[in-house]
Amino acid sequence: MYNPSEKSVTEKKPRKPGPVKRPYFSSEPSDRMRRLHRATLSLYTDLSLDGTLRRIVQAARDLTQARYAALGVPDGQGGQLMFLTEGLSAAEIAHIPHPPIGVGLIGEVYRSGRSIRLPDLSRHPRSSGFPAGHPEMKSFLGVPISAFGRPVGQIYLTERIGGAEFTEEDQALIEMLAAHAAAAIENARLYRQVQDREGELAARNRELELVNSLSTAVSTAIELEPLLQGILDRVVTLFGAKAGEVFLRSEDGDVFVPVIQRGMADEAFWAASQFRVGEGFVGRVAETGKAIWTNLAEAGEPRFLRRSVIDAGFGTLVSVPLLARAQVVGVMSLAFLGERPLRVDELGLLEAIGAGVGVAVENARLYRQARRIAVLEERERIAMDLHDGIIQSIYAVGLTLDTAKIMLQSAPGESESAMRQAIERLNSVIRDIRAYILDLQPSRVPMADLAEGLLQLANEFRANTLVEAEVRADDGLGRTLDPAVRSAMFHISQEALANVAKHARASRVWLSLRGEDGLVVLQVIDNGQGFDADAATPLLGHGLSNIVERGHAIGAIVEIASHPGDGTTVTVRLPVGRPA
Amino acid sequence: MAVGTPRLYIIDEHGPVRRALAERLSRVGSVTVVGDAAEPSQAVEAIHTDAIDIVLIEIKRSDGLGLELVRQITAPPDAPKVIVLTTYPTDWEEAAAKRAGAAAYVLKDLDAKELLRHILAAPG
Repeated sequence: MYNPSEKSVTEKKPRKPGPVKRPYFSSEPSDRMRRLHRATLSLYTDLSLDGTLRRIVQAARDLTQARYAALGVPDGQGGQLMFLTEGLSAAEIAHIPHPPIGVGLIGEVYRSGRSIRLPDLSRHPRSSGFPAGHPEMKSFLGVPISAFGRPVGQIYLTERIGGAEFTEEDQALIEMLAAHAAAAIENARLYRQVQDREGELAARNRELELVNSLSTAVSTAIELEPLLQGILDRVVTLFGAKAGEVFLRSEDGDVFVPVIQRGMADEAFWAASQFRVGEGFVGRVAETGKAIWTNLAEAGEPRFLRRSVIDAGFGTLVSVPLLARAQVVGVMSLAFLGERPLRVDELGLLEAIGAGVGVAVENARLYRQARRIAVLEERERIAMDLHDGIIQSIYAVGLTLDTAKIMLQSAPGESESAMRQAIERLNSVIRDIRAYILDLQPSRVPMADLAEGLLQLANEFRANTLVEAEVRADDGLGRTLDPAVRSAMFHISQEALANVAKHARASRVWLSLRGEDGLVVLQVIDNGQGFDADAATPLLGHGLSNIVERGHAIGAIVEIASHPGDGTTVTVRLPVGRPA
Repeated sequence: MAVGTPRLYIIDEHGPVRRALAERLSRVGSVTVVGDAAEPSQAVEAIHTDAIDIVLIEIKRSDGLGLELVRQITAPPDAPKVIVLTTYPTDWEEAAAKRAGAAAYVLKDLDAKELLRHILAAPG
């Protein structure tokens, strides 16, 4: 197997360390120096660590005409962090059972910090041989790369083409290359550090963006589910979670029910459909108000966690409370594949998000309550209207008919006139009911020109109420508005006129539609009795809340100005000319 | 006070109802309709001066003073009996009317006998 005639006489010479003062270039020295120079320059063109290492090992192989070249980067514990090879085919690499483990010559170069040059590496006392399947290698040159006295890697060359062994000149060249390589590796390391910092900064930025968009969403959103969905999506993405879900406290008790899920489409995560306080991860967070980080594989919660979840590779669960006024209103959970440690600042961010979302949940709940009250008030209003107009009128007619019946024998003349009166009153009741139904009809299709729609409303209003109504609109403006705006402004006008008819006791109403300073301004003004606009609560029950809501829906600002005795002005200002 | 038919007063904001009720009840013979009013002040004064025995009052008012009116009318020791009328009933309104001192809470139906039964029932 081994050539017994080979001698290991050269081993001592390369043990002389230090810079090479006297080059021993035996052949074409200037050519090899030029190639070294070119190679070293190329080391600085690429700042990635992988690219730099690859260039070093390629340059070393070129310079020495070795058949095989390798570069190892120590992991600092005697092993190899990286091991790059040149000259081995993919098939050859595939046959080598494992990368070098650093016990033989490779470990020796690292430990001694010196170059080793051998005509036959198998003869060296430190040689531990090759694993089965490794190509045959004989001549060997190993050169350490060190930066600031610290080993950062080694260059290995074997099987010098055309020559039996590596020369002193080869060694000198590679040692010079190694000096440059050390600098290049350090550069690449520093660059990677800078990049990591930048990555961290970018991550911080994304977190800030999330918190920022969250606070905007929290203060404006009224529909809870889309808000929760949006936040959960972002949090799942930011943290690289595989799945996420949000539980909310049910309105009537201490049960937490899932409302939003993501990434668990196929199967539910939990064996229970809801959790009581103290029950399961969700219930524990609800009880303590504190975040929980759990290693699922170790924690094992056979009562609630489905086996299939663990089988699917989920290993970490993080649950944070959604807090509002120190109450847990919900629980948000993230699930990760495998083990996912959570840094303190990440947990802090999650808890901050939980607090923000909690406020949003509470806001939405209060809004729903207010809406419910408004609906109740609306029903009350309809009942009152029926009382005021319709039932009373019919009751009066009925009483009149009852009286007429009594007088039928004794005073037929009076009886007849009472009946005639009753019929007249019934006709007027029918007209009242018609008008009332017309008023209750919420949606009417507005026409293509809002100005025309306003004219139509004014005409109807005049006919029904005998109150004078006047419309002024900028020429053509009513046609330029898009359908949603047209519809909203039409209905706002309708609602405002209905309010005037019911409450204002006005003698005159003005409707106007004009454009000014990038705004479309709609106004409905009456000269009626007005009301105290500062008393904010009646807004909910009135048609006024509908007006405000409709205005907000199209991005307009709605102002309702009124004083007792001074009439009422409803103003809707919509910014135009830029995307909504 | 002269012994005779009970003297009755009607308070309701709806004019036609007021007049039709007065007309209908005056045909009964067993009561005397003394007057009617929409406004509380007018009613309270009339009740004071006209020796009214029974007041019919529509509890649902646009000024929201229906219950308050019942309370005021029934407050004095020799107060008339108050019968509350309503177009549509609610439980809380009935309870509140009784607490305010109403003797009866009667739905506005075209059943004169029922209404008279309450009017002629012993005060209490």
